[in-house]
Amino acid sequence: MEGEMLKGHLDLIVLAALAPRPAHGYAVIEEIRRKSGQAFDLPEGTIYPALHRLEQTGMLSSRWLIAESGRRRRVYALTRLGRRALAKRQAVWREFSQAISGLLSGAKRGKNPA
Amino acid sequence: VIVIAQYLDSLASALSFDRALAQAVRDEVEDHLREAIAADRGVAGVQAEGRALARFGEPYALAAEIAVLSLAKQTQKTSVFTLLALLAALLAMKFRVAWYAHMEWTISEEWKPLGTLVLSIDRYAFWISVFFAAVFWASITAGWFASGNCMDFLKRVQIFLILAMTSLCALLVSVAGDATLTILQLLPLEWSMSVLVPVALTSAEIVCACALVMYFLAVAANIRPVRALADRRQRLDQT
Repeated sequence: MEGEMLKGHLDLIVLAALAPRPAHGYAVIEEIRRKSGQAFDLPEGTIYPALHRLEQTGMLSSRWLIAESGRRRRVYALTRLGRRALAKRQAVWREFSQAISGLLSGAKRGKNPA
Repeated sequence: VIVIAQYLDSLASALSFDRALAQAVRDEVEDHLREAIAADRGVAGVQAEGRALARFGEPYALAAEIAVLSLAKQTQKTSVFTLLALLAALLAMKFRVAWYAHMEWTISEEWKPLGTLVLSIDRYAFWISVFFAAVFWASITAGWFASGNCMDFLKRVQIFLILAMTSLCALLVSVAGDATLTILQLLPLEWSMSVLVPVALTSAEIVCACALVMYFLAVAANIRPVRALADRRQRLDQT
């Protein structure tokens, strides 16, 4: 999928990936890959500015843990504000997606008149 | 071959203007990269590191975005601290005036013309400071994070810091006015415990204003390294 198109929806993608449970950056990337059927393959570093920005706006919270490996690990979780924002963006996205689908199917019918 | 340690050093060095941030980002990225290498089974160590770094992206691109976000956060804090300093100054002024009324102290006739002039400068400066601080805070609250690229974001941060500086300069004039008025008020009096009340209140105002100036200067000092990173990021995007 086009990188620019993904970047435009990165906040929604990150919020959706964190919806089931709190996770660290690498796990968020893995969740995005898994849930998108490997279609979303962003440069992995791009996730961190998004995580930090969402934390600054209060949609995510983070805490540092010590992982099994002994390394410090930062784990992010959706806040109440983040859950509300996700629900709102999901609704907007569904509406947009239906509108585009309708438009494209109309274009397809126009191309192949019966 | 670029190895993880070199990559992390580059990242931390790019963010070295803020040591705590540099360490936090270094730890976070190291955890990510080690996880990625561990998941890349069947590939030799150095090769796995190379693949993990290739998937992660350029360190300066990440450093630039993180640095601009950090500067934005500091600017946001500056707006809150400015409002708190103004509130502290207002409370100190009100308490001082109430104390003078309670003690029935007035400025001596000799110093009254100067006192009146200083008082009007003080008031104007204070309300100018409140105005710019309110604009500064409201602009940040209204749509701060709906941003485009790093450079646009940085330009916005600089505009907000100019607003903060204007508010701060006016606040300093107001605090200087308060200090002058306190001196004029206390000049004819003999030293006693009751004199310490306005002195303590004025000192508290001065301490608040100085702390705000120090914080503002620390934030302003970060603009240059953050701009250098954002410029580098822009050049990377263009190539």
